[in-house]
Amino acid sequence: MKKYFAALTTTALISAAPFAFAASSTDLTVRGTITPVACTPTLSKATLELGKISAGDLNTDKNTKVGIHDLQLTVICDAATKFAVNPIDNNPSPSFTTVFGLGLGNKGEELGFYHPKVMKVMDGATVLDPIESADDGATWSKAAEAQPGYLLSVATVGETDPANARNVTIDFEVDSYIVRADSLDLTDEITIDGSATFEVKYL
Amino acid sequence: MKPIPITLATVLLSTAICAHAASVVELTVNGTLTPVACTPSFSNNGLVDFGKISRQDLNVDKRTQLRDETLDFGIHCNLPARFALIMRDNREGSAITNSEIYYGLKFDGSGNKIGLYSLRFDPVNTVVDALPQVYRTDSTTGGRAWSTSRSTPIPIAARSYLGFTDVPASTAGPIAIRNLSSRITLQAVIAPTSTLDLSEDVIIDGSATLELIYL
Repeated sequence: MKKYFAALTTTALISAAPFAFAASSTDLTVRGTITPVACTPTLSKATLELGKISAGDLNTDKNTKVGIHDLQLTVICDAATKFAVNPIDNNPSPSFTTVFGLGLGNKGEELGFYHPKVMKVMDGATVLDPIESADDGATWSKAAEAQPGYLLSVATVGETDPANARNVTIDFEVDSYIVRADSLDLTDEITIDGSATFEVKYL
Repeated sequence: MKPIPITLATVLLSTAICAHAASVVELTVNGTLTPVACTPSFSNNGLVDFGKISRQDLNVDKRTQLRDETLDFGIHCNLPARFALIMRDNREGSAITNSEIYYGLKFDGSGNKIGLYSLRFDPVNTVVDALPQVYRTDSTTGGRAWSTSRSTPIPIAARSYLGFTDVPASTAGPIAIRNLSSRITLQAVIAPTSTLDLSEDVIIDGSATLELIYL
């Protein structure tokens, strides 16, 4: 019997060896999906014009609202699908992380910000709720505005999960603000320069 | 539990050999048990997820390169060890270019190759122990001969060994290392959509295993 036990022990060690090798490797997974569905986003205006704002009209000690613009984002898909809009701030200001930046002044000071508030969401004739996700679509909650870093999607009224939709319009009111004038160098003209991209992300 | 009956069979065999001691033929099994143990690991559990890509964002008649993805990877050893890296493709034969540096993304519903990806290792983005600079060297001969060490990037390969040294322009091969960390770039390419069956979703499903070879 002793021989049997010895044999068993040896075998156990040998069979353990492949597992020891396995610890010296690690796996890589590359995944994704190519979907035949295509959605096209369109904005009702390519530029929101704030015009020429006089330094004298700015509050010295608090933000000044300098613009209120209606903006409509339309997303048309060739089949009903779940999607989100990824709002990207192309000119982000370090201090304004949940709103869009208006660029920097001549001394590098942050000029201000704008934020698109969601007023109404429709899929064809059906009213939907706006929802947002800060974790790339893992979890969703009710949304009130488009924010950089948050996916914006649509849900059946009262729900917070993305719904299939095909012909979505999102009506925004975009409010623009300039920071308190005493924080700006206003000796020369300053160019206000906000830029954002709305990218469709398929869910 | 299954290995045990096999063991019994082995014992029977070895008993048989003993019974015919005059007709023995010897077999030598060589190897080294090393106390060194190194563990490689990728950030994000080695998962690169491109999410859902619309056909309209892919080229119809030519390949589309997806956005670069970066992955951190580390190797931690209990003792300084001489080692090299290879990466095996678990989806072998599905890359749209057949090369040891291109890894497959599997097949669509009609058996078409979906694309490929490669992993670029850059010595400049690599830290080894307390060394001021790292150079890469590679061997196409299973570690017998090593290329002149350089600081330029190189793709990780399925057969060629990738090793690391602190000596520039050296052909002496890898040095012993205890800790290595690096940031590698994954570049994925999708086949022209005209060659894919897009009547339904196409699942991108690449899988590879990075292996550490003790030298």
